[in-house]
Amino acid sequence: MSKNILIVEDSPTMRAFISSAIESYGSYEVYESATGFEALKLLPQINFNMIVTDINMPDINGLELISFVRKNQQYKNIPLIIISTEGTELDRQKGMALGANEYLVKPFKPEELQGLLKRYIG
Amino acid sequence: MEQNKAAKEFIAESEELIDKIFKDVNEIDSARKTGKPDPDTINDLFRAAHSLKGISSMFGYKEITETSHKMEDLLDKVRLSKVAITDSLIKTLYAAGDMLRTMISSDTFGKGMDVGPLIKQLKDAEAGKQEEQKDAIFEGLTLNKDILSVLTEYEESRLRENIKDQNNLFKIDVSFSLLSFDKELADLTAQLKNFGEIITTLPSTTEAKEGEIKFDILLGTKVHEDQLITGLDFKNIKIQNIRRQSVVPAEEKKTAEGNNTARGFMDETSSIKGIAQTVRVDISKLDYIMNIVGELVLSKTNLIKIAETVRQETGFKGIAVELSKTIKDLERKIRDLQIGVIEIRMIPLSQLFDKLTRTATRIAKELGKEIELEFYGADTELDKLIIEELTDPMMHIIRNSIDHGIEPADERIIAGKPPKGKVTIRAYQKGNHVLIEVEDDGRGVSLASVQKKAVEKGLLNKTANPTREELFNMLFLPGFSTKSDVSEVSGRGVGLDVVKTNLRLISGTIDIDTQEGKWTRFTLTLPVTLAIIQALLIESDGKRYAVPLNSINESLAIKADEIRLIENKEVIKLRESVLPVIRLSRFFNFHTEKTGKAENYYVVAVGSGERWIGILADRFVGQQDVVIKPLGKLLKGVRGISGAADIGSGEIVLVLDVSVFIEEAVKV
Repeated sequence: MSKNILIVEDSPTMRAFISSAIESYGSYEVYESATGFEALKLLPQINFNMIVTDINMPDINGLELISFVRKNQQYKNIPLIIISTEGTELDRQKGMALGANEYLVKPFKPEELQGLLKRYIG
Repeated sequence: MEQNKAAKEFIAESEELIDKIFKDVNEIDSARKTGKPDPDTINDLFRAAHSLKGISSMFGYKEITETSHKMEDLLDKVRLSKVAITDSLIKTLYAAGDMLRTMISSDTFGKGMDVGPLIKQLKDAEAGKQEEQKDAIFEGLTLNKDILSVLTEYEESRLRENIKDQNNLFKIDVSFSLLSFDKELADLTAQLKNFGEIITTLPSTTEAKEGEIKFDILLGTKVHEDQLITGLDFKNIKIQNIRRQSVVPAEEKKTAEGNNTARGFMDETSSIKGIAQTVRVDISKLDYIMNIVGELVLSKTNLIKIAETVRQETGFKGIAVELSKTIKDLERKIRDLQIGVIEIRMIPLSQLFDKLTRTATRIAKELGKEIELEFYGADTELDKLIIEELTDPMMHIIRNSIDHGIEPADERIIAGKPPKGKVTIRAYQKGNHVLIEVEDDGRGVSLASVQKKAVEKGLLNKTANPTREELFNMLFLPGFSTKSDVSEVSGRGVGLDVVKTNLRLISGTIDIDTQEGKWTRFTLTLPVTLAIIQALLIESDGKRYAVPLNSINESLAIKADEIRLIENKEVIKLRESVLPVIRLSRFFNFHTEKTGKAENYYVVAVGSGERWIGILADRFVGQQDVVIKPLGKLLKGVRGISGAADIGSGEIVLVLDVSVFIEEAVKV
């Protein structure tokens, strides 16, 4: 069975970058959502093996998404990776405290994300 | 991901972000004059800089990253209310936006830029007041710790600001179906925004029913709980005041808020709808469709020929009639398709006008002049490619008007004019063309000094008696400038000749008119689209050419002996004036001119006023829609040719660039 990965990121360029990093690494099904709302709608429909999320997004923020996922029986064990940037350390810390597994800081190399894929879902 | 595609995506997104930056700065700037800028707009602006930094860093564009990063740092403090919004802040933000736009523009993209001074400016602006953040401020709230833990730094600061502003704080609980929550939530959000600021929206399913999703919305507002309840058109929502005491008397705001609500609500929903109905498309995809339409047009032309043959062979009955009916139908549909595709490519000039406003304001500031800009016809539409190519020439002309046209205030007062200069930009459609006029109420152009300068430069005989048009044309010659001192603003080594050349690339022309001491007006004439044109096919000395129909004034048949020689140039008499004529085979040095004299000629007259010329043809072949394709590199610079077109059955003709011939007419 193929592994499903959810990307939540509002920048199309970043989304394209992340999904190409994932797809070039192995055969994963990548689902992209541009907003937190889209992610909330996708979550009940697909069994995700990993979530990669931005924090600053227009509707619900990444922290709220993390909290939502971690509090929900169905999703609480999905590995969660934060994509953050320099200068948003406080938000990143909050995200980790809410239960994210790892974080990446932009700019990051595809290999860094691939390393996390290998570690968490193989 | 292909590198090229990624870079394209990057540039497209960057351009959007930079446009957003300008839009937001503009909005904040005008809002602060009347009150408090919307925190959402400030956050939006921050997010644009933030996103730009994120993507440019991934691609390794160092200067763009550095600039957007510093801009982000600065805006972060602005949105966290650590830096005040001042004149100099707005100026700095504009400067950063300009720099980003330059870096992303195709001419300079990827080339090193000195961003040092700008970075320093951004850093200086950041060094504003620093304020201790006290979390004690949250203690007066009956707010679940869970909610505080998911607020981003920015949201926390917004909560703090709302408390400081003595606003009421409400937690609104609402549940929606998992299938349709986004629409309903957007609806509620839009309504809530009329009352105040949404600080956060927290989703949860733990307490929700099966198939539902619950949201906790945090709202900061001046209104009271009962006003909120009656004002909201939503059922099944729970509103909880999380501040212990309420602050604003109930009556105070009621009327004003009430009026706002109705109107604000309408605006909000319509704008949400507008966004959802827009699709972003790469223009090359539209070009591709356009090409197919072009090929369809050719197939149709071939079909018409076949129908003609059938008709001749079988007579006009049965299948020939059916065929001709079907072709008529096809023809109509292809035309509709063509119009449809062209319409998609059209964007309103308002986008260009927005850019011009910013540039003009900046230039006027730099020059210490006060100006007023007026735009008419911002909704006039042009092909996106034309608007893009139009930016530089328009900027140059406006720069020119402000710098050379508009006089300093004291000079204006003496001349009996209002101290504030005025530049009026009018756009309107005229047939297949869009005309854009840029008129300033400045000192005008002195024809006497143009003549003097022309004599000095050896362009004109001392004794010559040039017409107004001839003198105006001098202004568009390379290196011709009547102002002796080159100023910082317009004297960047680019003159009106460059404007003219740039315009020619998009088949546009420029004319000038002026009244000394009163005004100067530039008129740009542009085709609505470049993608597909109607052309007259002519044959001259055995070669076929396409002449864009929209540039033809009239066509006529003449006898060979009507062509006369004046000063060794061929001319004909047309009504009461003299029309110079040109032979294409001579112009292009084809050496195909027939030796035997033809008895009859056809003439295509192009241009207007005193600037017109006739193109001699042996025969008119017919009228046809053609798709202009660019010439290859080898032929690109050939004067007089703007491209090539396939006219069906594989025959290629050259498309004439009429503006070049019109210039020849002036030389005659």
